[in-house]
Amino acid sequence: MIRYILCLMLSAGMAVACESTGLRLASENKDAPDAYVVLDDFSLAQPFSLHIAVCGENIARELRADAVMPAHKHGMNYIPEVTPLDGNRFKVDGMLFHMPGVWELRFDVIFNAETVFYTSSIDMK
Amino acid sequence: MKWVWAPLAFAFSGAALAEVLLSEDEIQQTLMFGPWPPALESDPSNRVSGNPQAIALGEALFNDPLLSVDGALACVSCHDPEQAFASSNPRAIGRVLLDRNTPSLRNLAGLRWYGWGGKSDNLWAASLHPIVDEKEMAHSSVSLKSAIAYSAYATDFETLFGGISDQDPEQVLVNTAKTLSAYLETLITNRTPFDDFRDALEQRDMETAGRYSVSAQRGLQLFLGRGNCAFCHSGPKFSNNEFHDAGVPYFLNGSEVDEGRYGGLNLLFSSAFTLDGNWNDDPEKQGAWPVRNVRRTHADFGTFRTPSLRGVAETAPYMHNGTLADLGAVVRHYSQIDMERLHADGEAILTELNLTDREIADLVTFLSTLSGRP
Repeated sequence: MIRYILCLMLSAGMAVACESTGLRLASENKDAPDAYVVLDDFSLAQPFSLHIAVCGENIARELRADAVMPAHKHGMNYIPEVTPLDGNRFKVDGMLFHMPGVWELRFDVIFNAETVFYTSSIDMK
Repeated sequence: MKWVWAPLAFAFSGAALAEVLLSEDEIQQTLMFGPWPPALESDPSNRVSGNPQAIALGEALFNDPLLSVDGALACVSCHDPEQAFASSNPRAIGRVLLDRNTPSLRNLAGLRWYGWGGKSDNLWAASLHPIVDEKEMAHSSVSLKSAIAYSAYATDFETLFGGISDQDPEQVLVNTAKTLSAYLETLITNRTPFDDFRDALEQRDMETAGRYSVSAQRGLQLFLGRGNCAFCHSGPKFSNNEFHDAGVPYFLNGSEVDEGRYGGLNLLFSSAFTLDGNWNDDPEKQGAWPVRNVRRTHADFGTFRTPSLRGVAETAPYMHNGTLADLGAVVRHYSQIDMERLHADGEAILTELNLTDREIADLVTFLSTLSGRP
C-alpha cells in the first residue's frame, strides 16, 4: 500500500464545539460558523471520502466540495459526490489527489441566506 | 541525514564502501514505490478473472490470428512477448500505420484507465476495441462469433460461458475479451534491483541497500526531487494513471491532431463497454465511479496517460507517438522541454531542468534498474 505523510495546515486545533471531531476549517468570513473536516484513510492517486460537520444553529442546506493544487494550477480530475447527513453533517465521496504536494480543500456551505467559503490545506508527500 | 554503512568485510577486503545516499525524507518517498509484486486481486467486473481455464483460453486467443477478420493479425503481432509485449516500431502498424506507440501489456490489472487516451475504464473493454477496430483486427461481432464457433476453441469457450449459439454476437465479443483480460492480468513484471533496494531500506538493512549503485541512487534523487518525475510517476507501478501534457507534439500531420484524453473521453462516454454499462459482471458496479464522475476540461486536449515505468528499459521507443528512441532521449526531452509547446493554461509542473550529462546518465541508470534485466 502506498504510504503517505499527511499534514493538515489549519487555522485552529481540534474541534470542541458542537461535539464535532476532526480539524477546523478556515474561513475569511469572521462570522462563519465553525466547521470541521475528517478525512478517511487515503493514499496517493486513490479515491477517498471525507466528512464535514457544520456547527451552530443555522441549517446548512447544501455543501459543495472541491480541491485544487495552487502551485500546479490544476484541480481534481473527478467531481466529488456530496451526501447530506443528519445534524448539519455531510459525507463527500470520490475525492482523489493524483499528485503529491499541497492540495487546498475548498467547501461552499450554503445556508438559507448566504454561502460561506471554507478552506484547508493538505501537504501530501 | 545520509546513511553510510561500512560492512565489516570492508576492513579486510578494501572493497568499495557500501553507501546509501538518500536522506530520510527521500527514503520515505522511495518506500511508496513498493512493495512489488502487488497482491493479485480478481476483477469483479469480469466473472472469469483469475479462472485458469479462461487464462489459458485468453493466452491461446492472444496468439491466434483467428481474432482478426482475415487471419492477418493476432494480438501478438503488435504486442510481442520478446519486446515486453510492446513493439519496437515507433507507431503501431495494424492494417495501416496507426497514430500511437504500442503500449506494453504488463502490469495492467486494476488500473483506472487504459490506453494512451483512456478510452476504456476496464481491461476487457481495452482488449475488445482492437478486435473490432477497422484499422486493426477488423472483426464485426458477427464475424467473431462465427470464427469462435467454428474454431478449436469452441469447446473451451462454451465450458466457460455456455453455448455459443445461445449468445448474441456482442455477448461473444465481450466474453472473448474477458478471456483476453484474464490472461493479461497475469502479465506482471519481475522484481528488480530497485525493489531489492527499496525493500532493504524498509527493513533498515543498509548493507544490502548500499549495493544499489551510486549512479542509480543519484538518479533516484533527481527523480524524486528536481526532476519532478514523481509527481506523475508515483506508486508501485510508477504511474498515477492520470493524464498529462508531457510537451510532446500532438500533430499527426499538417492538419490533424491527436486529441489525447479529450478524444479518449468522447469514446469512453459513447461506449457500451464501461463499468457503468450492462456488461459489467459486478452487480454493485464498484468500479464505475470514475466513468460517472470524471471531470472534463479543455485542458484534456493533447494529454496522455502516464505510462508505468516498470520494465521501461525494455519498451523503447517512447512517448505516445514513439518519437523518442531511447531513455537518454526521454530524459533530454524533459531536461530541455519546450515550454512554448505546453498548454498556457494547463498544469504548471514541467520546467526546463538543464541537466548535466552526468545527471542524465544517472537518471537513465536509475530507470534501467526498474527492469529485471538492467
